[in-house]
Amino acid sequence: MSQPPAGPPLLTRPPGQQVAPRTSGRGGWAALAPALALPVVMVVVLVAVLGIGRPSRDEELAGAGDPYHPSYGASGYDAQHYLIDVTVDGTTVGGVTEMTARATRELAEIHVDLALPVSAAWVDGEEADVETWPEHDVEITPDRPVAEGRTFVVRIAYAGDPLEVAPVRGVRTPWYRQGDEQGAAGQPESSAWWFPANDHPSDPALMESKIRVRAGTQAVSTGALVSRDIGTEADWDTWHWRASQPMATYLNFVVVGRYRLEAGQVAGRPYVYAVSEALPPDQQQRLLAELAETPQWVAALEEHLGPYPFTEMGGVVPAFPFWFGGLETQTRPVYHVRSLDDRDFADTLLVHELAHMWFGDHVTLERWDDIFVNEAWASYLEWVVAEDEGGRTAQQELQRHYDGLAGRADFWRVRMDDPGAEQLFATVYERGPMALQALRNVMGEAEFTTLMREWAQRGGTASLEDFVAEARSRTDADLDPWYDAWISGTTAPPRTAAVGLG
Amino acid sequence: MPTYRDEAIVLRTHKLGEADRIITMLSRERGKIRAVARSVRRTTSKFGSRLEPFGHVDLQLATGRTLDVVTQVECRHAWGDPLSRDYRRWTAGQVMLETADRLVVEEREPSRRQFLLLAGALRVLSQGTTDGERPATMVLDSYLLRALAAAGYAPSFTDCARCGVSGPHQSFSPAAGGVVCVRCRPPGTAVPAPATLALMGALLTGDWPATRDVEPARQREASGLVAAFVAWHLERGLRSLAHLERE
Repeated sequence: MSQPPAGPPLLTRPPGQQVAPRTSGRGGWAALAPALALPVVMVVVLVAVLGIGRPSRDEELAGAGDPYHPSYGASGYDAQHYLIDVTVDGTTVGGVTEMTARATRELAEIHVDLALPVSAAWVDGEEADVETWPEHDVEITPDRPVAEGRTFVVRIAYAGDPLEVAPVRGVRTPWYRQGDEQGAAGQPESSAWWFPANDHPSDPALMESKIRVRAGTQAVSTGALVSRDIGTEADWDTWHWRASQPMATYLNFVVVGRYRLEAGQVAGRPYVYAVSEALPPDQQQRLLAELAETPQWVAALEEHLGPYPFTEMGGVVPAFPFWFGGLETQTRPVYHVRSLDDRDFADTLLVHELAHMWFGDHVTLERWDDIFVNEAWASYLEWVVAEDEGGRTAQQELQRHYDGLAGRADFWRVRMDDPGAEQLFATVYERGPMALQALRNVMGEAEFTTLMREWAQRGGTASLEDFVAEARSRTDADLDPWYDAWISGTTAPPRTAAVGLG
Repeated sequence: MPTYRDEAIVLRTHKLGEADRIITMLSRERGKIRAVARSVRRTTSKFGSRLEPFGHVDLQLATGRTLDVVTQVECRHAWGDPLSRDYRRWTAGQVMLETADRLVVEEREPSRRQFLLLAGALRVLSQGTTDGERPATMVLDSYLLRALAAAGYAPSFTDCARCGVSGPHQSFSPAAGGVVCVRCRPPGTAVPAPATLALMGALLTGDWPATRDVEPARQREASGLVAAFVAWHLERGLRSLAHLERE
């Protein structure tokens, strides 16, 4: 029996790609020192005064151009596939991620977002220079620029403790650790804590994860569970997950720990439910029973939205508490333990996160100021499904919310077409579904339900403006008063039929 | 020129002409006041260093045509000195000064409560609480919650902020004004640990003994919610909050 390694061999790159130490010779130069002194001093002065020689970066390539989060993501390429190959053990996450992308312009440098320290990078197998910048930006410079239109492969080796990394915005880190359980999930930031990527929703890609953990520990992620152990090591299991539909970076997640997994097939689709074994056994049982309602709610949503857009489904409940009730991680939402274990709230939460599989995951916001296309719809479908179940009608919900909020001037000052980075999630969960029910009233039942279904099925990235243009193209009704009142207005909409009220 | 006396804390200063400064202060009797300090930027100035941000001073002012003029300054506490030795406390103090400046909008409208809160918070930040040392961010969060409450934005930590149904409730929504019940809870509402809500309640009432053994994770969570609550009520976010050095 082989001895367990003292620590995890974190970097799994092939031996041929080990980085050779850079050395510099010194012999003989000492004699020339006096003659070199003056030019050296001049160079030092020039560097200090003029900044000559400082590393520079192409600012346009370093971000995706998001108006709220300019440092998020990158430009100049279209990511197509990520292969994330990481070991998660103790306080360290490390490994190699391979990104396949197509250059949309000539690229002298390639940028990705990664919060963990990088040890090396390769572009198409050739080692490349690496420079790290603030706000999780990593610049990779190949020997030769990548030509426009070419597909290229970037491999990045990295390792570090994700808990030591602060978010670019806010104070909440998306990496959680409690006991021997840990993982990442968060919006708008999370992927940079465990893999390098073009971390912006405008560039969804296929993703595959190989997560190496101590034997007996489970690693759960998105997509299909290809294998519980693709490795050959006695003391380590490498969990292999593969997503067959493109996904935005913030929709991927990983959790590692002791999990109770239930897997099978329902309605022709494989499912995996996972609940932390750190929770009391009776609570695990209740939570698994809630997760097992997933196919039922997916079927209810399909009645309104058409076919479920993904090939797998599921749900995960870690023991560590997120600050949010749930997150619509693709094919397998993560749920906050107390929220899913709340009998009065669980169904609403499941419907909301599962509605996101169409709105947010299949049709993904293009920029962060388009949050309406994700959250307004997911919240609206809560009303629609509750009405199916014999609860209040969506129209009653609109009236109830409007009556409660009409007098709240501060609520209406957040516009839906430009909520601001600070207030991105502040009111969209209520004003969003109200706006959609009002749109239903203005457009009429037939046009609206067709719009809802076809929008849900369109796939890809979309802006709020795309949605409004789509709505306008499907109705003869004048949508300007509705738009002014519900989308761009900063006061409570009037009680008039023209805006879908009254 | 008629003169008057007041007690004030310097919030910010900016240059005027060759050697003068305009000093923005929060005073005990008159709320926010702006006054000119003549020749204060000269090395020979008799009260230059006392009129720096964080200075807590007794002063005499002469009523001017547009701006009043500082004629005498006595230092009560130069909080800038102890704070400048600890970057976290310094950045937390900066957020306090900016918050006071933003919450007291009108000049010469007495806001004794805001003055006392700021004076107390700077003292606690520099010298510790009545129950011993606390992290700078915790002192700041307490100040922010109390200053917002004094401005009329007291968050609710027990009853639903929307419908008033009695708690305890799990979710906290800055836009709703505090904890919200299951029925009123917007879908994306934060679900902090009960210990986090208890901490925020203690910070709001200034119950320092109740904050003794708080886990760092609960404190971070509380800070996140306080920041969101502040961002909601102060329409433009606090610039200094971006520079806050957190534990």
